[in-house]
Amino acid sequence: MALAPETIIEGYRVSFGSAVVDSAIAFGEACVTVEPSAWVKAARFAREAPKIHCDFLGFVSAIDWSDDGDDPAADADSDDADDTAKPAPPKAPKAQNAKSGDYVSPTGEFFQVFARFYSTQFAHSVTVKTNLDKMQAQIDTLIPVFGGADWHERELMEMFGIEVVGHPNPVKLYLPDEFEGFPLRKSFKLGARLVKPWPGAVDVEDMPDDTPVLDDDGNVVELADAAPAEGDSGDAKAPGGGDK
Amino acid sequence: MMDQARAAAHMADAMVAVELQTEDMTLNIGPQHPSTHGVFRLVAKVDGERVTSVTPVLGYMHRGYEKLCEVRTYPQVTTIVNRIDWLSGYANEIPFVLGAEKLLGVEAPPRAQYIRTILSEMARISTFLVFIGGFGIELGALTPIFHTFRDRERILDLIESVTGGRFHPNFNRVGGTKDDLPAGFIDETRSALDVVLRLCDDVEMLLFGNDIFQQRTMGIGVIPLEKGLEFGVSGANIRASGSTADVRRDQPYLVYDELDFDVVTDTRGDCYARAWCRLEEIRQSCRIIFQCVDKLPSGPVMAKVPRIIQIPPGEIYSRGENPLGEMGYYIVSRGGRIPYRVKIRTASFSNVSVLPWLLQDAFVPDLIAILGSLYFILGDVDR
Repeated sequence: MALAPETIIEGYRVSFGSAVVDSAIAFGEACVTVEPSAWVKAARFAREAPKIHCDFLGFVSAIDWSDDGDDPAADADSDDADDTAKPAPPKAPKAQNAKSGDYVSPTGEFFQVFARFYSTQFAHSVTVKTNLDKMQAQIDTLIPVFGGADWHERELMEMFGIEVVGHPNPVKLYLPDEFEGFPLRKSFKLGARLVKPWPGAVDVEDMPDDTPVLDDDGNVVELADAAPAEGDSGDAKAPGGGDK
Repeated sequence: MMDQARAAAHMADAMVAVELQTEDMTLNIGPQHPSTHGVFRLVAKVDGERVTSVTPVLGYMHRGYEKLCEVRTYPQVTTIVNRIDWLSGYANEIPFVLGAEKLLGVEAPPRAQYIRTILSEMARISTFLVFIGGFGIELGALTPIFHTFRDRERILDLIESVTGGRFHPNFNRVGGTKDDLPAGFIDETRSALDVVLRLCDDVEMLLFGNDIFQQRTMGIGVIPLEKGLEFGVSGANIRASGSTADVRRDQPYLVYDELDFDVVTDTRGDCYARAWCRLEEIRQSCRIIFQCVDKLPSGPVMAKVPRIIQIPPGEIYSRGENPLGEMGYYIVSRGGRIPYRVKIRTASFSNVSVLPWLLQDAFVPDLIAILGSLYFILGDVDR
């Protein structure tokens, strides 16, 4: 029987005590943040605790929470936020945030390694996370618990520069051996964006002033069947529906 | 006297054995081998006909989509994810837009949900038709592929008539679909599905009933259930090993909870079972589409969404049952128009990761059967 996410989190709290740093329920799924030292044990618990019994390895990956600033994408974002003088595009209504609960994005210089385990028997899941100091990005391998973690961890190593201790074959998975840098770190800049700033950023921001056609911007768009009105900018005006 | 003769025979045997002792040979399969559906290299150590170890080499198709998603707006990301599993591009969009919609707190109108379901299942049919034809070729059966490709074209035409694209529809928007169905689509769909169902019967006789095909696939490349799950193998690959996991049934999305269909399973876990599950799933997909076109509600195809999609902060793992298995997107938003991080969990990546284990001690001719039956798309492995 599928366990409620609260029950799974409770199970972790009981078994791990203070090693559980944080927990959350995201869209009906349990998410537990543990100390790095309890990482492997937490995965083993997900697999072996009889009522949780998550036998299916979803993935192992990481998030780099340290936004280093001059990422073009991040720039565009912060411009949006600062520029109150302009008729800024509508922020998503507050009421809609209720769905994601009282979620607050973490801040600070750290990696968050996370793995998702799913129970094919009970159809519930648990996402186990752990926060790693950027200076000491080290984590134990999950291979003894889930053999399939092998490639996921190799990807983790080459993409984030996180050292997986005990990995039997710590070589690059996708990238050539001589590749330098860790592409999925936020400090790794996308070459194309360095050469040419993101054209999309300009496009979207200038529209409210420049184009009178879009006067009603900021309102919720009425969608008649014929109106080519969807969220993205350019191709909305391309002839699409008419010529079918 | 007898003993001496026996001893001499033993001696001779031993000498032959010593003489035949071979060195391991390294056999490179790929990166351009047709059975790999893309550029995928397998470095196999073989001792005669027996494979002693296998090292898959990935990355020939690595396009860095996870990074690219971090510099694109949500509506732009669907363009990218179309190209992950290019044979069922439409199905790739679904988990992503569903995740974005959930984070945004909107839901696509029922008609859009039905259209999405229809097109996802069409994508499933078209990609499995490629599989069945291609798998036959790999095992020396040349005929089926002509039949499957002929009828797959019917399905692709239908997808094209709705979306404008055969392979990369890019038809989903956060909040609905780009357009409604064109006139005549439903009738055309019904007749195309009849053709596909007939094809399934034909292929079942032609290929699955074929003695050689059975000998090449039955009992070959067995994935035990527990091992498969541990490696995250999903889709028909794991259902052929006895699992009943199907995201469409376990955590229904779109309108799958309103539809009547069977989760196809098998317990044999071999190449034959995997292929058979896919053939059966084509039939189930037809069944789903028939129900969808019967039930298709009227109404708009786009929900009311802001002109510029800005997603409130949040994290969500949104998954769907793609033709190849469980595909999911872990979307992290810090607010704004651009995802902060998108982890793309693709089915083929996990399906292929079981290869080094699975190919251990296989025979070289079986290797092709096993590779073919796992049915992976390199774009889906490398992302």
